[in-house]
Amino acid sequence: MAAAAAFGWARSGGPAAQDPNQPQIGLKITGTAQRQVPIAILPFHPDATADAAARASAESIRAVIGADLTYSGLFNVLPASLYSGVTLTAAQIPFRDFAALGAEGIVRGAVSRKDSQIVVEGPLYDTKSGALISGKRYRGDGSLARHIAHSIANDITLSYTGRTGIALSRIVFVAKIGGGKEIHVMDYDGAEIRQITKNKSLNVSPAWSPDGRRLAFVSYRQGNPKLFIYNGEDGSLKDSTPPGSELCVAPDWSPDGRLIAFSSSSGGDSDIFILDVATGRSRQISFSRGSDTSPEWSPSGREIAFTSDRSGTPQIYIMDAEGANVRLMTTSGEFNDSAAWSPDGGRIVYASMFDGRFDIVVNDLAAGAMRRLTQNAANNENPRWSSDGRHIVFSSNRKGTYKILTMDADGNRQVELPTPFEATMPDWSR
Amino acid sequence: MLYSARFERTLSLQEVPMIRRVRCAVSILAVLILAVAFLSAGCKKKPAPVAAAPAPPPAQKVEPVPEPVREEPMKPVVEEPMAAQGMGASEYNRQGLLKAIYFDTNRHEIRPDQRPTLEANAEKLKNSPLSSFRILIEGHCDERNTSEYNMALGDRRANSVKQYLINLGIPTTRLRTISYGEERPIDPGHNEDAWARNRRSEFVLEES
Repeated sequence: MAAAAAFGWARSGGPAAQDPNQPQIGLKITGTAQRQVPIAILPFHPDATADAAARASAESIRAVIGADLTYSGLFNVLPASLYSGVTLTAAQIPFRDFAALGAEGIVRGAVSRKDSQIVVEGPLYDTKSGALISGKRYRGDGSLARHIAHSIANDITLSYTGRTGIALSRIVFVAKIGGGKEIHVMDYDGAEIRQITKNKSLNVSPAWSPDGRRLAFVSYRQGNPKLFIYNGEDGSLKDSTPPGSELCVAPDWSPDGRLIAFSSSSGGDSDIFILDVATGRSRQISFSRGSDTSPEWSPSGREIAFTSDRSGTPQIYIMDAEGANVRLMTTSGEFNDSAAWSPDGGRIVYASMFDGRFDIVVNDLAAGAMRRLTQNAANNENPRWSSDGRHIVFSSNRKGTYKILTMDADGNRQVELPTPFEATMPDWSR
Repeated sequence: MLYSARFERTLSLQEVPMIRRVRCAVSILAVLILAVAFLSAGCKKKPAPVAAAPAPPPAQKVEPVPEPVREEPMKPVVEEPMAAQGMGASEYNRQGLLKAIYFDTNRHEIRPDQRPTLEANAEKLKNSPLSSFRILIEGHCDERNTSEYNMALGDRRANSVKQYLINLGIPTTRLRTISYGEERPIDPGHNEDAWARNRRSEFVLEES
């Protein structure tokens, strides 16, 4: 690729033919102790074609990129006051001034209007060399300003880490509306809440497919709790309940999106089943007396964590995906449930009861070390990971009503995503 | 329409590498925001009927003292169960002929003090007018466990009730179970009393 050659970007072990859509990885951050990259995001300058709406979106795009990069924990977005003395012109970026202020990267975007659409560029430069690190042009309807901003934030994250960011990810959750519970989806930052189900029944336990295009959930819309798959591409809904399943609960997609693990019961004994999404066939993989519920695939697809009260109290177990080799994971606590595997497979986060209330606990599988992430005399439940393994979404009633919150994987920065209704059972898309 | 909208739609947004100026069409996802309909329920109040006594005829020259209007307590309308014929399951359900039974925390076994209630329910189910109906047994939980675990616990409660009714002679073909977990509390409170009332099994008659 011409740009790679011109700026001498290194790429180790990459294929010879490079995808022009994949920005080059030249400034890779390695190691686990993350250093935050100091970065300046300058005001996006509107060109002559930009109308009032485009000018307004220029400011919001800059704000959203800044919020995305700050949230990621990978960047230190420099406050504008730091460079208020630097004179900015449309023609030139004073790289040396920004390097002196400590910035390593600098974003100098532009917004214009073409026909009914806005056109946004968010080029990222290296302040030391003045080289263009990444830069794409996005064009779309004005209502897509936030989406474009998230895309630019992901481009920037990819440039520095080699992995795309989570700025375009979404969170699905259950909202209590009237006497019913309805599935909703929002952006990971809490913006753009939209309602998916609208049947005034109970719709619970939503789970994203790995490609983020489908949702599996449990609905009482036909009376009994059944398993449904909602396709976000065409808005279709499919009853995917395997024949003979009386009580479908807690679906979870396999990492390849071909299978769904769920629990189902007959005669009061709940067990784990695997549904082949394409064929509709299912098979039972756990056979214990006692309830086996809440299955959760490992990222490799080779193991499944689940909850069972076979020993008396609900505890988390791990088994091979075929159902063999069951072993107990939780060794303390009277009630452990809702296991979720980190994307790297090294940790399992779950809800554990302390003094009658649930808190989120993370178990480092290699070290065998448990760490309690919440502690506030309220219930904190249903933890799920972000795809970069750096954040956890969960529900909590710490302010009275259940709401969706996110936190860093170490328990820091616990923030509520405001919703105008009670919200529970979150799941984070890739 | 049950499903209001897709959560994504494809738009023609183009993503162009600035350096090469190659246009690559990239489809991107967009959003639809949905309005939530608010339902408001009104209620009407009827004025209490007043029984006015007629004024007595004047017997003397003395100006009669007008008698104050007497209010008589209104007799409540007595609702009596109608004759069996012609009544559907929903009418009987409204009458609450079958009583709920309650469970201990995290348990699904029938409590000894709940057996008389369950046995009384079984007697009613065996006899006219309820003997022709099927029965949906609902299992419910309090809010304290995780919701997914409560789905399984409610299922176990409903099934232990079902087993008990079978043992009392109700044919299994008349019985169906459903678990609502913690999703349908009868008491919205967050205390021991509310939890005790919510750990329950309810009975719903269904047309056979």
